[in-house]
Amino acid sequence: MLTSKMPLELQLAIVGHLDPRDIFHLQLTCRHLYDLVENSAEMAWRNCLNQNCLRNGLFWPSFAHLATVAEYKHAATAPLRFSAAYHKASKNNKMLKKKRMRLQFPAKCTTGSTILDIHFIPGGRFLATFSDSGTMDVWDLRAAPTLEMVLSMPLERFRGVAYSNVVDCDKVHILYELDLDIPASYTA
Amino acid sequence: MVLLLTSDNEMFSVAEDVIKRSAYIKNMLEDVGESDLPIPLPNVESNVLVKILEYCEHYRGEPLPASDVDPAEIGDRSLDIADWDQKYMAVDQEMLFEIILAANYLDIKSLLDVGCKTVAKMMKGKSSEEIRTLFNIANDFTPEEEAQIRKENAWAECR
Repeated sequence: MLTSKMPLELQLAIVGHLDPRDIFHLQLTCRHLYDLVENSAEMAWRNCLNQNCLRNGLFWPSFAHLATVAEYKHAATAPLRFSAAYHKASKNNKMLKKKRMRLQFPAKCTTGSTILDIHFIPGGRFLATFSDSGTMDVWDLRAAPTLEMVLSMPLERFRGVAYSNVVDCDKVHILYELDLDIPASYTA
Repeated sequence: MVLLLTSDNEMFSVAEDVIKRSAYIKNMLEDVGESDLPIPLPNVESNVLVKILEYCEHYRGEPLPASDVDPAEIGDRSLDIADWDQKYMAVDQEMLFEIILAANYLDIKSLLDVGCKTVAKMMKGKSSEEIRTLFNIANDFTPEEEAQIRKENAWAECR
């Protein structure tokens, strides 16, 4: 009845409530359900990814550049692929392979100033830097190691990031400490 | 009162504010205006309509949801289901699917949502074989194909 009488959009609405692993198990039951998810444009995996952002406080715009089913699936299953790789490595008493990359800040943005603090925005695409020239800059890591500045805000008397949090998937709250020992909050 | 005629030719007389939870009927009443003619529901059988009306009756007086919600909108899709809804949905599988189909046809968004969540919850944490048994799905993959898909998705095997 699930596959015979239900219209496709309802089958997809049900899939929309499932986690990546449950979706995969459902896909493996029969050809029809496999194709349903694979051909659902990006919807099923996009939902998963979106839920992942909501539950784990990730910044949803980090994934705004994704477009295809494969890209969404890749991003939605990333945490599971990471933990599978981790379990496999630790079973064999090995470490996960590390990947290093030297980031290149555009010279004109950094000459004459020192970066006091850096802060990753959960989601993995954006990096905030705080410099002694009195700005907070937000960088897009998509084309890493080349960085693209997406935002530059004046920030007086910055001392250090105290706390940050992603709110409702699309806002980042950063609480920072001032040089005067007076905490102040800043929202971007 | 609104008259509804089911596919098996049973007539139901329902209070307007009860059945207005159905956006389909609400719009129809607004378009057509007062009428003594029954509204035919060729896709809904009487035993299912009884169940649908039980839902509408229970939520009578509760505000109707906004009709312009974008389905692609970011929203929490947790599988939390209210106690009453859980009890309401404790029916056999055939009825569960009939309720979902009717909620879709009658455009009762909240009921459709609870129905889909209920089915999703049944699948949750189950293996492919368990899902096949539960929903009577015939496996039409060859063993080689199944092994290939599992191989491509090794992330799903690890707990």
